[in-house]
Parts: sequence; C-alpha cells; structure tokens
Amino acid sequence: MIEFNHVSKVYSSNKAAALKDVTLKIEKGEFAFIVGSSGAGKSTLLKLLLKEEEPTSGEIYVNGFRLSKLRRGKVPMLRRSMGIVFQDFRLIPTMNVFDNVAFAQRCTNVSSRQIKRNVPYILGLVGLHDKAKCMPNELSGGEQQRVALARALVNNPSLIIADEPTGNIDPELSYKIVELLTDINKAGTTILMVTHEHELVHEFSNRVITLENGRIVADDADWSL
Amino acid sequence: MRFSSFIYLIKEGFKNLFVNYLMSFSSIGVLMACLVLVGGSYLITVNVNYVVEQVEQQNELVIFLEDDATSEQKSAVKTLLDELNDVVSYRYISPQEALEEQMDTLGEDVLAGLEEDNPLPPSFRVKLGTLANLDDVIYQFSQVTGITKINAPTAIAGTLTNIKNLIYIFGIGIVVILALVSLVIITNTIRITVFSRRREINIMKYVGATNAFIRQPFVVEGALIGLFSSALAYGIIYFAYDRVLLWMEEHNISWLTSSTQQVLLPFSEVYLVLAVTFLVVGVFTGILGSTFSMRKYLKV
Repeated sequence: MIEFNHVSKVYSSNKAAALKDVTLKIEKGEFAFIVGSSGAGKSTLLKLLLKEEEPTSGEIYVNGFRLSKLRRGKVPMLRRSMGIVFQDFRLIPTMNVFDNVAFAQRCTNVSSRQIKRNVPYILGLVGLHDKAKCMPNELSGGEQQRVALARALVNNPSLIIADEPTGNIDPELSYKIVELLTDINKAGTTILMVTHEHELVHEFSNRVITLENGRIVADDADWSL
Repeated sequence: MRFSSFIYLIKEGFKNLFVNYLMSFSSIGVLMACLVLVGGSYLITVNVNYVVEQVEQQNELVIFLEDDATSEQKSAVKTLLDELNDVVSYRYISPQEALEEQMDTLGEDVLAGLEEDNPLPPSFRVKLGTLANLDDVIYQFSQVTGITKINAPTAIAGTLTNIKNLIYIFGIGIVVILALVSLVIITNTIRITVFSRRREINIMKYVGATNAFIRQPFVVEGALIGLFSSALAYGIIYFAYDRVLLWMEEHNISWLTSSTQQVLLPFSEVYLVLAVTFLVVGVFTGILGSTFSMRKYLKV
C-alpha cells in the first residue's frame, strides 16, 4: 500500500535534511500512527506522499503509483485515491456541509443523482445528517472535523491520511475521532495518522512509527530498531 | 469531463460573479468604458474618412477635348473612363450644353451671339471615388489623343489623402492600446478574485481536482465580465450615435450638409463590425485574462 525506499529529503533553502534514509512499508488494511516531536519530519513525510514535494533520493510507492514516475497531470488521480484529513479541517468556507462533502465527488465526475445518495449516507456515518445545510462557521471544531472526515470518505478511498486530526479538538472528542477512524479501518481502509498526542496513541493498540530528526527510531513492525 | 460537471462549473462561474458583485460591477464598468472608447474612436475614424471622401468626390476632374474632336476620340476617352476603377461617374458636356450652362450663370445677354461660333470645347466631367491615385489617373489620359487639358484638384488631393492616412493610423493606434488596456483590466480583476479564493483553490487541489476543473468557473466569470461589458458598451454607443445623428440633422451643419447627402454614416453600416469586435474583444480577453491569472495558484 505504502512503501518508502531509502527516502531522503533535503529542502534546498535550509540545507538540513528533513528526512534521512527512511525505509517504511505499510500494508493494506493497517492502522499506523506516526509520532514524533515538532521538526521530526512528520509533515515532510505526508507532503511526499501527496506529491506536494519530491524526495531528494529514494523511491515512494503509494496505492500502486510510483511517485517518481508520476506525471504532473496525473497527480489529481493520486490524490483522489486517498482521503485526507487536516488539522485545520480545510473546509471550503463558502459552501455548506453537504456541498463540501459533495465537492469531493464532483471532482471525480460522479453524477448529481449519485451524489444525492452518497453524501447523506456518509454524513449519517459521521453523525451529521441533520447539519447538512449548515455552513462551516456554524459548526464546532469537532463537527467540522467530522465533515472533513466525511469528505475524505465519500469517494471510498483505500487509504486515509490524517494529519494531526485531533489537534484542534478537545480530548473526549479526540478519542471519538480515533474511534471513528478505527471503525473505518475495520471495514478495510488503510489508515495513516500523524499525531503528537502520545496519550491518545497509548489508548489504542495500533502500530506506532516514531520519527526523530528525520529518521525512524522506532517501529512496532520492525524489531531491528 | 461529464456533461453535468460541465454545467455545474458554469453555474459556479455565474454564482461567483454575482456573489462578488461589487468587484464584478467595477470591472464591468471599467471594461465597458474602454470598449466605449474603442467604439467611439472607430466611429470617429470611419466618419472622418467618410466626410473626407465626400469632399474628395465634390472635386471634379474636367477633361477638355479639342474643338473638333472626332467621335472615335470621344469613344476612346469614354472607354478609358469606364475601365478606370477610381472613376465613379462621368458626364459628357457638349459645347452647346457648356454654353447654356454659362448663360445660366452669367446671363443670356453677356454671351449673346456666341451660339453660332461657340468657343467652348467639349468636355468630360469626371467624379473620382478617391483622390489618392490622382496622378496615376491623369497619366492614363496622357496617351489618349484629342485631349487638350485636364483640370485636376491636385493641390487639395495630397492634403486630403494625408488627412485620411493620419486618421486611419491614429484610429488603429487607439484601438490597439485600448484592447491591451482591456486585457490588463480583466486579468487583474480575475487575479484579485483568484487571490481572495486561494485557500479554496488549495483545498480543491488536495481533494484531487484537476487544473481544468478548478480553472473553469474563473474562466466563465472572466468571459461573462467580457460579455456584459460588450453588451453595455454596444448599447451606449448605439444610443449616443443616434443622438449625435439627430443633433446634426437638427442643427443643420451647413458646410457638411451642403456637400454630403447624409451627414454621417448610418448605423447600419457600422453595427456589424462593432458588435463582432466588442464580442470578440470582451469574451476573448475574459478567457485569456482568467487563464493567465490562475497559473501561480494552480501549482501545488
């Protein structure tokens, strides 16, 4: 599903290596946490996965795509195969909840009729069916994040990437969000969740990959570290 | 792209135009002013040329033949006159007619007694479409026998031709400059719109929208701004021109009306060029402006 092969990334502006020789393999259906302090390289890892940045060396494989060989025009295809949840929710402020989730479907040329069926179903899954007409600024942080999650789910991706999804949420809700992700994982979706909340990680018995200074220093799946 | 997506994006373009109505309003206003200036300068150019041509045509070429010119010689002159492109019309004046004309002007008594011994020669009065090639036309007749003299408005011809060329260049210059200004205005308008929605565009890229998908509503918006500006500019020009025509008829500008049948070109002559130009300039610059202004924000 995801494979990093001796990946390094040096940003040209500051010469310091954000990632150093990272080798990582995440199988289909796994739920993995990526932890590390600020500056450890977690955001860089995600940017490389989304092909927002390109590695200085090494190969990355995602969902069957070999990123180094992926043409610019095909990058939207890559991003559609994954659902992404951000720390700052990133909902479109001028669209209501329904349209925000529907937008992900419109980009993939799904018919209006199907959208009218799929979106309410997904909103039901995250428990926001009755808020379909609300605007993002009328929702609480937890609700906004659930909308973001619904948007990430609506195209039925095989991989969900969550970048600090609980960062702006209070603790009880944070727990609920990860529970929701766990349910989604049980249904077969691979989940990669970046977080710095160690307490949350310890509550769930998932694979934990630890980054420090651009290297993987601990990985539950790799006992050599 | 699926048809329903296409329609959705067009609707989004319309929606965005109206949601940012202040921005749209000011852009349409400025662009409309530009197009009115373009249309105005075009009309002025075309009409000045028209008036100048009228003046040109009033100046006749007179070809005097020998008193005893033969009918073959006269036919030869007629044939040449028929062939020349610049000749709009001509009239043969026999000596008899010439004398009668002079008697009308000067009075019968002054010229009494000349009917039997008419000193006036036969002539052709020729109206030319343009004085630009006057020297060439005169040269053509130098080969024809039987011609004694040609009276030609050579002095004025040069001046009028120069005026026409000057106006023409000036007109084109204004149109080109204003077209560029229009392009810049639309590009900037869309750029501001795109900038204010850069977060949305960023989100769209993460969700997996293609550049074409993101760009389309903005292109629609730009084209619509162009379209509305064109329609409004056209309407203004139409009414203004109408008013000017009426005003000129009422106030009877004597030096123009005596020499021209109609004071200015009727609108029917110019409306097609104006309409097409406005439409093309408006919509085209709208689309082009949108495409240029989005480049930076589509690179994620």
